[in-house]
Amino acid sequence: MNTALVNLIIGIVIIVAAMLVFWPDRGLINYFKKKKLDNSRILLEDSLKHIYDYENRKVDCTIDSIAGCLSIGSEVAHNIAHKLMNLGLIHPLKRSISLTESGRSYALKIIRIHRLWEMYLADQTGVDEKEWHTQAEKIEHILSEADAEELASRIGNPIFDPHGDPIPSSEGNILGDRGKPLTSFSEKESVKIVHIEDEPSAVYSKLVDAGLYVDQNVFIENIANDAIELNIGGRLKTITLPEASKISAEISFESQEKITASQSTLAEVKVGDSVIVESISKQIRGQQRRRLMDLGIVPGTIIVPIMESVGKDPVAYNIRGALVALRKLQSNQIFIRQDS
Amino acid sequence: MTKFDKIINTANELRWEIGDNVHDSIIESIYADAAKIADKNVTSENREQVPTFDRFVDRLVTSKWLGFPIMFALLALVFWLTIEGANYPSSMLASLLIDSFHPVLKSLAASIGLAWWIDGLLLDGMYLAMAWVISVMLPPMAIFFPIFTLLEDFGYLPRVAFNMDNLFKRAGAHGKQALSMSMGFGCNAAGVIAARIIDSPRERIIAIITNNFALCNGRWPTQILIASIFIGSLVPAHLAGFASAGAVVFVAVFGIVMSLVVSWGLSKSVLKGEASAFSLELPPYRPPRILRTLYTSLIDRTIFVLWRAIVFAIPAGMVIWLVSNITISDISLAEHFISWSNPLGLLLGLNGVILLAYIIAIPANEIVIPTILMLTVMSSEIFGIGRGSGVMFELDSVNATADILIAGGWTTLTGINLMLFSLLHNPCSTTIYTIYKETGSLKWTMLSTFLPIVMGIVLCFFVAQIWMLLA
Amino acid sequence: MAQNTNCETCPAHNIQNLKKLGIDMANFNYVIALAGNPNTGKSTVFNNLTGLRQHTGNWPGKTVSRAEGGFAYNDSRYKLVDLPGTYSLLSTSTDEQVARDFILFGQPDVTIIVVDATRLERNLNLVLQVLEITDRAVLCLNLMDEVRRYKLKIDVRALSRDLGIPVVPAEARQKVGMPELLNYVDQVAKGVYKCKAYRFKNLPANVENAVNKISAQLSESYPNIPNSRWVALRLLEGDQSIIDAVTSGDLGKIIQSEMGKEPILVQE
Repeated sequence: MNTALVNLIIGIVIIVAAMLVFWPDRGLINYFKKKKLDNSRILLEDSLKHIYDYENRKVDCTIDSIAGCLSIGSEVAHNIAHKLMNLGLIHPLKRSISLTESGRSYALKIIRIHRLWEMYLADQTGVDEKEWHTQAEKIEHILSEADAEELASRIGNPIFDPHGDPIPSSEGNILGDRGKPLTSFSEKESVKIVHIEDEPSAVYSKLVDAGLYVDQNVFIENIANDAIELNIGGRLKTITLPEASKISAEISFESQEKITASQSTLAEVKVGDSVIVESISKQIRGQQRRRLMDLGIVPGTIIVPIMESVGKDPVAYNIRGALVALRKLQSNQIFIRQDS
Repeated sequence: MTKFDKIINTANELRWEIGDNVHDSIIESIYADAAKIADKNVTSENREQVPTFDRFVDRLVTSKWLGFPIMFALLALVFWLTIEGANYPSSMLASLLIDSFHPVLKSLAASIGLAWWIDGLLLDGMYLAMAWVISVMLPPMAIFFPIFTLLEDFGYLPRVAFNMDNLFKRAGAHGKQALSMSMGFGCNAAGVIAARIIDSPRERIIAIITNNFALCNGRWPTQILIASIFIGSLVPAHLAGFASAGAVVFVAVFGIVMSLVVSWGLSKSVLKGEASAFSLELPPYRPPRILRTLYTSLIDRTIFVLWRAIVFAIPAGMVIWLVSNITISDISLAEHFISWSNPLGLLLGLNGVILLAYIIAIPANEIVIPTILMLTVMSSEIFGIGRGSGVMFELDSVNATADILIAGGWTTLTGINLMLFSLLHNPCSTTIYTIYKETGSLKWTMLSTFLPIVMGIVLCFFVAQIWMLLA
Repeated sequence: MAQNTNCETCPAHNIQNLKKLGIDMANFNYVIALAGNPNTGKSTVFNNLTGLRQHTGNWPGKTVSRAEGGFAYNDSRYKLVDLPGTYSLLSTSTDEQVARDFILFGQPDVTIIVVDATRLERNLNLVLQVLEITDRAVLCLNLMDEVRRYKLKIDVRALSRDLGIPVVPAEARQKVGMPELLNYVDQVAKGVYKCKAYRFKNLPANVENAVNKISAQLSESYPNIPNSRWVALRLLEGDQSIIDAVTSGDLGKIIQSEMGKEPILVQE
């Protein structure tokens, strides 16, 4: 009896040990893999991105701002700046730091890989929206240029990333930023979101949770001292001014009535009722979106729910003569109006 | 810059200008054209559009109360037809190929004076393995696949996927996995191929990796035999049949649960990042064409899978014969391995014979029991039963088989753990090869091979130790 | 439509001239592509013409790899290529890329598009896309028996007029309509029947303008290009295989062979 007990304990210990070593993302193996990454190159590339970002926003970039952005000591930041200068990537150090031609194209290369990867994650994978940026931050230092081009051609050479940022071309051309900050619009204006800044991630997560996304039309109900109240399809959302400054928008062509009208989704329609598709939410993207459209779900399509499955989800719909089953996860992203 | 590059440049500039909605607006406009043309040229006399028969059947098979009962009844019927229907042709094939033809070949070999080891290698090793695979595998597949294909052609199976999707969705999988899994009850290799119907890559890989948890035709006979020997004997004689059938069903259901649990685990870990898109078209019901279906399912599935199995079984037969007949200091390789691995086997509630049988019988689960019997007789030095070293055999009587196994030191625990291990171990080599062909990836092939065997070893270990602790 | 009552061209007479060649595809004169949505009976048509027995099932996406077979009809030998069943040709999935690249680069002499007649509107999505790439197509309006069961009526002649290609009602499972299909394929392949395929009419203004701009440049660099609008659309969607074909000048070679009427085959 005692041998069995001892065996059991040994068995449990072995399993726990194996889990500690092999557990994906958190195990020891993963820890050592992370350690092996070349830290100094990552710092160099991240500082280039930071300098590019400040130049673009016409803000003076200094060694202190580099140190602050990368959360490193100013001693280290100083070393990095010198290394960059020796590599000919930035102009000789003055009060503010500026990129040379080759420094700019290096920075754009990193940005291209970063945004391509975000687009790839959004389009072709099921990775959560909040993880896109973090994953791209890692991959931008690892992926080779050739692999990035291969990736680009596979996902149809995209020109915008899922946050609405333009992706630099392989030759290093880039479109200027679109739209202006949401805070610069006035009350009772209809605007279309063209860009949501994905840093800092806490703010970005909050905006995602509020249901905001690129290409969405919103109506500005109210601007107070510290917050903006938005009307999205009849629902009111309040975001703080610092949060709003992370959103860029342009004047929308949609009327106020249309934006603020409460929208019903396909998921709410009762079996047998005929409805017309208004739009597919932009939150459905990439492959999923194309699949739905290929099945004939486009604005104007008449859809009738025909039957529910035994567990009520999925539901089968008559779409252009064909019987197609959709999960609730998708049908509640399809906006509809009643068929009169 | 060539004139060609210029075109590309123009296109790229225009892309920035138009924005990223090109795809949406193109598809929209094509459908606008399509709707116009269709409206003009198609008229409907029937406002309902869908014929009453289709509506009626659809209402029935997706109804809240009858949907699942109908499905389970149909599946049970298919299995019953397969197992019952295969009994007679299987034993006929076995008596023809093994009991009649094998001795004929042996005496023929003797009459032309073939060296004993060539004769043994060819006839006792390769021929017998092939004969066994054919007689155990062919009849159930020849019954199972056509029935399954008929249900598929009629249009019922998509409705099963429709009903089951809710369950599979929770496991992070696709409703159509219900079908590749059901196909796996026939043969895992065929089930892996059937996962092609799942069009999103992530769910397809999940379906492929977890297919092995569906108890295939090759393993049903093992389960039934062991259950009737070791589980049936635990209860009074009049309940024996019921208890052993219950045990087999339990193992099969446990397999389904495992496949859902593993699907869930995979979709939360290694397959977290892969894309998923769900859509399922429910085709109209169409009268199945029976002859055509029989023909194609026989050619495409049965013969195809059987051929692959034979190709893998023949070398296995050779290995089985060789390890039993090559000796080092008068003891065969097999016995060396068995006495070496026996302690490990006992730790798992199994024994060295079972471990060796599962290693050399990787190519087909069908030959596991004959190999176990042969090895048991050989290593326990039971005389007067069997046909000699390296010659696989099976006995007609369950009692006689039980006697051999018990003489070989088997206990109830060995029986239970063999049933569990037969469910949770690496897929047969035909299936492993098919997984590689279908995924084209060594990584997924390795994962599908080693995940179940690790699970099996861990489970058997704990069952064995807890059993001994309580005993 | 070139309907001839002459006995020689009567389909009923000519079906006897069909020789199913199975996998024997040597010395073919014409390449025929077989496109269509999943689950429309495409493989049944393939089997009817070649005598092969590809497995079909009541499932979308059954034909995973490309199947090929041969048949001889009216003294010509045909090679029939069964493309993967797809809903569209515009996406990045492998199936769609195989189908799209074969129709564009493989230069089939005729493309047979098999559609489920009971779901015509949905199927037309693919039909219109194919017609944007190639003029020489024949529409096989399959599952006409189902159309009767669904109590639908389809004006075949008007549909053919609207699409600008021959339309053949068929019930492939009963082998109904196959003689007529062969006859039209033969006529289109030999240029007896001149198609005038439907082209997209409803593109939004900004896309239309962009397409016009690009296709004007394309026609300048590649005179005789038959489908510059399609190529332009693909460039707007960033399709790498088209970008490569344009920059390397390969697009020109294809057009050349098109003019010379010499069937070529792409390597996969």
